[in-house]
Amino acid sequence: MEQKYKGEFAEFWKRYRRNRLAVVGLALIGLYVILALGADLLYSYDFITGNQIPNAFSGIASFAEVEDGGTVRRHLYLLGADNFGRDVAGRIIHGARVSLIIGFVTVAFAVVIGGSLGAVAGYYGRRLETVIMRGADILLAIPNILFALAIVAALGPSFRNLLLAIGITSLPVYVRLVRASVMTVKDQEYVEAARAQGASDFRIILIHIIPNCMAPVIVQATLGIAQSILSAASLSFLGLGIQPPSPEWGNMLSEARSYIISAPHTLIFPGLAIMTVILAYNLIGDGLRDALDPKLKR
Amino acid sequence: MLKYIIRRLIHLVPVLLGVTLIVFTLTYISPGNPARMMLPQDSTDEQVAELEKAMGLDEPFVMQYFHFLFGYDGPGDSFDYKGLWALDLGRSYVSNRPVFGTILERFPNTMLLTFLALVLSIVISIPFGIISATRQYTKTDMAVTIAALIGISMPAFWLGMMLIWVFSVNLRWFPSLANPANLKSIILPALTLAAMNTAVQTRMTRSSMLEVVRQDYIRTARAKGVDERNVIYRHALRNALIPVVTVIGLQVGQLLVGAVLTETVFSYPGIGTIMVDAIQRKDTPQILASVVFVALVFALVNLGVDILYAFIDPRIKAQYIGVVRKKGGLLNGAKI
Amino acid sequence: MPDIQLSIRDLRVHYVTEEEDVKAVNGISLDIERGQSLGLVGETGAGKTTTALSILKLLPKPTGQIASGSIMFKGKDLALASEEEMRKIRGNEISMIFQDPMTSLNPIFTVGDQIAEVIALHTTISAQEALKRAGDMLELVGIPRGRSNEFPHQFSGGMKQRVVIAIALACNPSLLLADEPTTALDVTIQAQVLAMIHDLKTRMKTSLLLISHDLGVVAQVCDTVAIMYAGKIVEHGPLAKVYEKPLHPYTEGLFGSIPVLHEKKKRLKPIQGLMPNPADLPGGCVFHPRCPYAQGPCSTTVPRVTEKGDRKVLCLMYEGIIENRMGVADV
Repeated sequence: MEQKYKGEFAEFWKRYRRNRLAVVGLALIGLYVILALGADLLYSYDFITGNQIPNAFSGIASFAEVEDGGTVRRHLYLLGADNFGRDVAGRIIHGARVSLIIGFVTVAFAVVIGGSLGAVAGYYGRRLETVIMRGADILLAIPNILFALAIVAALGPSFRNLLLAIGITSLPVYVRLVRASVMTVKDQEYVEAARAQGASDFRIILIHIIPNCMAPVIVQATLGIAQSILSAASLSFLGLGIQPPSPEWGNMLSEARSYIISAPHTLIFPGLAIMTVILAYNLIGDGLRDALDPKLKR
Repeated sequence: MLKYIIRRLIHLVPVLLGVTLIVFTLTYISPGNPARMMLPQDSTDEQVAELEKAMGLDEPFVMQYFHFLFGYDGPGDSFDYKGLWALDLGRSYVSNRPVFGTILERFPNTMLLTFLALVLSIVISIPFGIISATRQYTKTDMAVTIAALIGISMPAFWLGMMLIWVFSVNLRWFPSLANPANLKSIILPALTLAAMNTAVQTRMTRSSMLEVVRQDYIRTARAKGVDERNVIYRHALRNALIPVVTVIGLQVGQLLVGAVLTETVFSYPGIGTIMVDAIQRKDTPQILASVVFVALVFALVNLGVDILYAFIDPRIKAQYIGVVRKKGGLLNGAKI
Repeated sequence: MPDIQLSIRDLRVHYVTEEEDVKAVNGISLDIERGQSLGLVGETGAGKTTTALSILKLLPKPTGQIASGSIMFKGKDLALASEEEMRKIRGNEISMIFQDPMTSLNPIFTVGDQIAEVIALHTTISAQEALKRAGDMLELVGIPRGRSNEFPHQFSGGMKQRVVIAIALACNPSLLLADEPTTALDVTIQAQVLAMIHDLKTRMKTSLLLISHDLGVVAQVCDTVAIMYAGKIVEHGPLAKVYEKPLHPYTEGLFGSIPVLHEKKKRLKPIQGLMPNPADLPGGCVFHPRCPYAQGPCSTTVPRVTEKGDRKVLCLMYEGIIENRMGVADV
């Protein structure tokens, strides 16, 4: 068994590698993950949330004296400082950590819960399926960001509510996706064989059916992480997500808005960060889709 | 055809009810007491309780939902409203004007912006998608593909601000504040709004064309002696556009929603700014009404697109209305 | 004096990609007379479809290229003709039908429109008139003209193929190229469609080049047959003679591998080995690695065409270079 999977993965990786852009995407995300993991080492949280007013709007790659935990030292503002003198680069890196967490958590939530609902709907059919799918239809009828906005507006802006809101709005896609996959797979012969061996429904779904539905889910999940990050940034931009001084790319842009003339760098870089992360995930998603596609197109 | 439309409408009703239920539930569970919001800060608890009673806030959940839909005739005259089905959900906490009144006033502005963005996106995406597909693997194709990739990755509100920075602040070609009376001021917001859609549609057109051009019936067309230009535009394009039209249709709803963010960036007086202002001021009735309104319009637009789709693909049309001699067939405009 | 419509001489066609040079057709020559039906037989990958596509210059661009040779049609060398000139010929003087009827028709246009289009392209009659003639063609292939306004998805596979044939014959072409026209159809429908092709071509005096891997199909319609292997024609002659007494070892192998209902055979005799990779052909005679009669010179000497009356064969045995072990000395 293990030999088979190893070979399959190598085969998959070979196909994935063919798409150069997809590899670039993967490298970019790798970079962001490393930066996010090392965020506290590079810039302490207190440093990037505390005010250093005298250094407000320091230019890109400028040196300045800062007060950091009681001591005064020389500091290089890699990407300049914002209106409070906070280091833009540091805030971007910490923001990366926040965004990546939001992306993974919300999508994991949506995949597990949405996927389970979809699997159940597809496998059991009839009434249960109708109820679940109608519920999914209703959730899908409300446009994503609007829905997330409404939830956060109703419950109050906080990190937890943001995760909840984005997680819930991402759900229905996976319900539909997994249900469709399950419906094609459940009539296959190996499922019948498993049933003939006395396997329970739960076991059949978990071990036989779901692994064969994973391909489209993986592709959608990758693109879904990008969407979650964008939603989080949008909501924070409107004041409904992560609140300042906590760094989040969206709220950084919202604060930078007033200084578009005097300090455009505070506006450009956080936005660039959002864009590159989303671009990277889109490239990976595209690459996965091509690599997992059974019809090899040349 | 009519049967198809009616069937789709009937399917729509439970979905719309579900939407209203969700939105209502959200406000019900949201912390904060509407009665307390309406009274001055120093009111006593008794005063709040009295107002609650007058507003019907002490009634059970189901009753309140019912009132939400069909209206409430409170004791006394102060809190009457006719309910969602009459487009009346009360008055704004902030301005005390009827919430739907404000929405209906501003909605045409949003429609204008959305329409302009839609036109822009179609006009740009389809030609570029075709060019990209017919020149696969050339530099043009690469350029378009990369531009489209960037387009789908760019956050709209950031793009808006970047456009302002380049074109308003630095080049001074366009104003940074938009309003419907001044067409020139709407160009930047329309471009911003259109960006994501254009990128998605370009990619869709390109991949659809590539798919169609490989089909056997295109080979048949060439074997008949049809010239390359007609092969692409008459035989391939119409087939390729079918999935593209679906995507465009789905995107119209997204445009509406995107307007919410883009309007804020340009301070454009549409429902987007109403909603965002209402959120910041915790004007619950206004928020509620705006969300419900947009969700309803979104659902109706998607229904409209579904119906339109049936007209375009003869395979679907045939299912519903039987076969009719088509005007605009193959020979229309053929050089004879 | 035979009236020769199509004359191919030493045609070589390559598919050129970044990685390799696929030599699909390696020097074939054939003639088709007016009213003649030539069957082009061979395994998948032998170069039959490429030959047909080359005649109409429908090879995939930019990979497919006619490397050398001539394709004479009505006094003109098609290999050198411009795209403009080819367009006038396609669907008009030379038509082609393909293998899979399910996908050969454009789903969004009515069948009437699709037939009328080819008529309108090559004549100067009005749209009305073209549609009327389209209806005539439908009747000709056995479909009621009232169905002119229907869409392809409303027809079965066999009927779709008939529509395809109607399109191909609408302008009364001198030559019809048919690439495995019945392979995708049921056996019973196959017989019907073949009979119809045979009937129509006799009536309209159309020449036919029928490509197939199925010897039975070819026998039903063709009077002459050419056997193709690895881009070369290894045998050519009247169908009856070739079928009864094949000259080339490959042809003999083809017949040997067909199960025969009325004979009791212990085992089928398939030909050993596989068709060579056209990007990497063997030296000498292309067939020698699989030939049961191969001898020394076969791996180094390239055979030339030997003509014996109305038959041609490409084998060193008939050139006297090696011993004839097949036992068929003369025809």
